[in-house]
Amino acid sequence: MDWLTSFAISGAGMKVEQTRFNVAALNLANANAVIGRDGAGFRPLSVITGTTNYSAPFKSYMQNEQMLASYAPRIQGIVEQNVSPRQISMPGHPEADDKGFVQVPGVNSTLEMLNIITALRAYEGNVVAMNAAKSMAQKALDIGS
Amino acid sequence: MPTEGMAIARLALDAAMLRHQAIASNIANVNNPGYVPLRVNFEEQLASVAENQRSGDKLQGITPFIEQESKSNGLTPQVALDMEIVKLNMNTLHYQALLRAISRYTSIEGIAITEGRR
Repeated sequence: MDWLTSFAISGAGMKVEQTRFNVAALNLANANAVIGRDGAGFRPLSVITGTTNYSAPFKSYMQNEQMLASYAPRIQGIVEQNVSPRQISMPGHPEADDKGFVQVPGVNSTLEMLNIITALRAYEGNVVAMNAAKSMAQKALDIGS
Repeated sequence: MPTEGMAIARLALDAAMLRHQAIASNIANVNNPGYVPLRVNFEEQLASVAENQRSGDKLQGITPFIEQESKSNGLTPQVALDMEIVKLNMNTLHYQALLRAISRYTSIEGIAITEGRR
């Protein structure tokens, strides 16, 4: 057993939260990007996370390591949300249809702000865990001094 | 035998480190739906040490291992970020206390080696 596992777990957590944050920011940034009449344009995205599958309880050091490794969070994919675009009345806009409506992505800004806050807090939690691992490892170096 | 204290302290250090990794894993998966929190099974096994007091190898078969948190009242356990941070801080202090105890123990041995002289 070594300390690298602790840092790897916290690092994987930070990576996942960073991605969640990036995707929420991307959705907000594109909230008013007009979708063309041909349907080409931005669709809101979501992050799908998971862990690798877990079979049975383990009982030794080596197996503890394997179990922890199989529980590290992973990004399984970034998929388009199943939401229809919003219609905004903008007569005269080059991409407006014959009734004067343009389409923009159906971004739910409240939800995205919530995602940003939860991702931020979880990221901070991972940083705290990593710093705790660091201080424990440093103290362990002082044995016998 | 005095070395038994060291052996048990070593096991406890391993358990504390494993517990740190379990807590780190719980925090890393806090937003992960369907994740079941992990815990370390160690203190439960120490009860048998007292039972085996008279027999030879008291610490035989004692190994800290990781398991999934079990259901309570039929509810699937969930990760609470604040409680995990509390557990993390408790575990860090516990680890440092164990290290302090080991250092004291080795310094006592040092006194024995130098026959009480400095």
